[in-house]
Amino acid sequence: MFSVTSITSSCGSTLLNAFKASACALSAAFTTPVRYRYHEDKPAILQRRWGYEDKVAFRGLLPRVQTSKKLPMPPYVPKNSWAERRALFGQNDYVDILGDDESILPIKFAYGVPSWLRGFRGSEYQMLLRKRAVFGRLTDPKNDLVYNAFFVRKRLKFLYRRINRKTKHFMDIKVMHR
Amino acid sequence: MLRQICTTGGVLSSTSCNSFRILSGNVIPRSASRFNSLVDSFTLKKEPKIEVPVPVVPEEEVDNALITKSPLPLITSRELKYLPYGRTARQAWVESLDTLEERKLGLVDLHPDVFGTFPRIELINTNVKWQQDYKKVNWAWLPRRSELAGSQRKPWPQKGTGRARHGHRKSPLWYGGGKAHGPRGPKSLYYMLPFDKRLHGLCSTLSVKLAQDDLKIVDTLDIPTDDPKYLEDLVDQRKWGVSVLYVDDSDIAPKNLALATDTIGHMNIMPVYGLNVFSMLKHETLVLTLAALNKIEDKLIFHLNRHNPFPPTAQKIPYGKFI
Amino acid sequence: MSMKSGSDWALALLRTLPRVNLGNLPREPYPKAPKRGHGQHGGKLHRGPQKGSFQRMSYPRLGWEPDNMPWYVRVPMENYYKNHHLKRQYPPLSLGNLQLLIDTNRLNVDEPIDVTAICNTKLFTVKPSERHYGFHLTADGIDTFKAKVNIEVQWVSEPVIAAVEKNGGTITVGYYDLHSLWAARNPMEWFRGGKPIPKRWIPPEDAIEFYTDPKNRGYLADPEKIAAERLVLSQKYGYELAKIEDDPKRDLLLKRKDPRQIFYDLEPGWVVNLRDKCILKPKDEALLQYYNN
Repeated sequence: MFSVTSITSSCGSTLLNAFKASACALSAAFTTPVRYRYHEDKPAILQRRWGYEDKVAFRGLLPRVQTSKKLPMPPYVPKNSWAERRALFGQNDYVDILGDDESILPIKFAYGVPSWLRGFRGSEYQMLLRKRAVFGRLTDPKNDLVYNAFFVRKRLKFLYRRINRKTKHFMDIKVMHR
Repeated sequence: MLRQICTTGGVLSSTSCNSFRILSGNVIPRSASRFNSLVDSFTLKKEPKIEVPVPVVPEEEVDNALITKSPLPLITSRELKYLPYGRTARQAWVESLDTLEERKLGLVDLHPDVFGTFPRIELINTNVKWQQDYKKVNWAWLPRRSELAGSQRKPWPQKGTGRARHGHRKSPLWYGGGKAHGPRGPKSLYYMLPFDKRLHGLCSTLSVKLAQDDLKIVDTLDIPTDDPKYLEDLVDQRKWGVSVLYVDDSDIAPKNLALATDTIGHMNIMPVYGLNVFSMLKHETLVLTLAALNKIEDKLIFHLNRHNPFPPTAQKIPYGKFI
Repeated sequence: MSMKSGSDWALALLRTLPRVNLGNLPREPYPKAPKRGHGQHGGKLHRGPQKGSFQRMSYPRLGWEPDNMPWYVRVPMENYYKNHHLKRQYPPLSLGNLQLLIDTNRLNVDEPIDVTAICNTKLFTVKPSERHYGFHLTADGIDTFKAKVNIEVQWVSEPVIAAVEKNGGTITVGYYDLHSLWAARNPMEWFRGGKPIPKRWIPPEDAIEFYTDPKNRGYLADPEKIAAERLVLSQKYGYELAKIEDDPKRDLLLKRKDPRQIFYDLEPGWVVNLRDKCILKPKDEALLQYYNN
């Protein structure tokens, strides 16, 4: 066995001495057979979750402390309900009643709807048939942005089989429209 | 609240805000002492008026002011076509936008079939829903398993690995797999509300607006200045609410009104053919000119009394036709 | 005149309620019928009943209608006569017959001839119950027609107009609605019932063009245009147009009815009292407004 004093006397560096001293104290603390030890006597050397910051505040009124990291959520911007498109929403919807020409349909002014879908409503199968009727024979390369002939053909083939072979039913019309 | 007190300089009679009450003689009670600094900042130097006197304009001045206009009353009655037996015409004042104060120029008869129908609010709702929906497109789209790129190989043997059996990496069970019954856009939500429902929706909305004093009739839309403040003051003084929709017969609005409403989002101008249920309900007050009133009534009465079994909107749009 | 209707009450109630706006509109009062679920949402039988062909999905072939002849075997139906019973009927009266009625003194040439006069011959009549809308003056006997008349019929063709005008007469084509025709075909019976003389309605939408056309001598056409068309027709058929202005029967030939009028010299709204031999005229403003418009 060696004593603490004997080691310090034999080494010159004070830093090393301090380290060794603490190491000796540690080893003494862990090796000394202590049957009962109070919590305050426990060594504070092991820091759990070192470098971790709690995102939730356990004290105070606010749910979380302002940290450098922002919540993954856009900042709240109130919408302007009187922006021009909202203020004048629907202003051509009764043009066939109040206008001079009855044959002008309100859907004509739905510029947000692609022209090949204006005035059309139907199931996926009907939509694709219409798409193929409109774009199927066009050869413009820009056409491919809208119309993928391979997928349309594949999907139509699948839907044709499903509708005609699997979903035969007295409520056929509803099946077509779902 | 404070601004209101300071600008009008009047007495607030509300009992719920005694602490805000300003007595005549510019005495502020002690209970309001914590607002003293605020109140002072609003230049309460003039002696506040207790009552706002009704502006009495001498008759000569009235004549001078309107000398360029036709003699009053501008209009007293109108001929109404197809007046239903037993119903009387509804009436409304004709006003003018010339002055801030409301000045009545005459009285108009309004057709009871347009401005006095039964207010079918659920029909109005149907109209609003249609307006919101008929030009919607649901673009949501998710790929099916057949539309995903990737191998179609069986990931591991059926037996012997201890793992669950799988035959496909793009199966809907897998993370990153296809969607079995996903949305397949673009799905158009277009439908056409029947002609008569839209027609009666318009009539019901106009009737509701008139019944609730939210329909104002003016001679023209001419205002003296192009200052937005003038319009805001006018609307404030006449208690027209905040948002106002001006409707005129012509496509081209008067210059002053166009400039004045340009910066105010909640005041808008529309031609007659742009009038619709949604806008009438979105704006608190609807202002019609006499010309617009005539045209609206003509159109609606014509459609209400005609035999029109196949309106153009009831016809289906031919297959594959561009609009 | 003024009474308070249901809508007036409803609008009066609305004045006490908050402003109707986009936020407080009620929903549709009638909820949609619930659908039967499919798959995991309630049904396991292909949305069908528990047994039978629908459960087993063994449906009849496409186009099969039970209890009906299959459509591909059936004799095709083409609706030649669809809505035929709703069409306006104009029973014919030929020019030869008209000449015969005049020759046998059943019709007086010195008075204008109209539906009432023709029905009074008791040889020709219209039946409003069978949707007869008046007489069609046909061209049979056109070569022997010599009378100079002022006649009002309900349908004509061009040669007939020429035949009447060649003889120096005038012709008008007027529309009578069915209700007016009941009065016009038998005025005595109508008056005996104590009913007021009805007003003639304007023609329906599909007949307006015919009755406003000066070529057809429509009663709603512009008289100046009719005069021009008379000249055109005379030049087309090659006869000299008689000058009505110089005619001794000028007043008779130019006598016309008002578009609302059924009988000459009697106005709509009047009640002819046969017993006291007097005429009762309406005074109420509402009635006057109704009959004058």
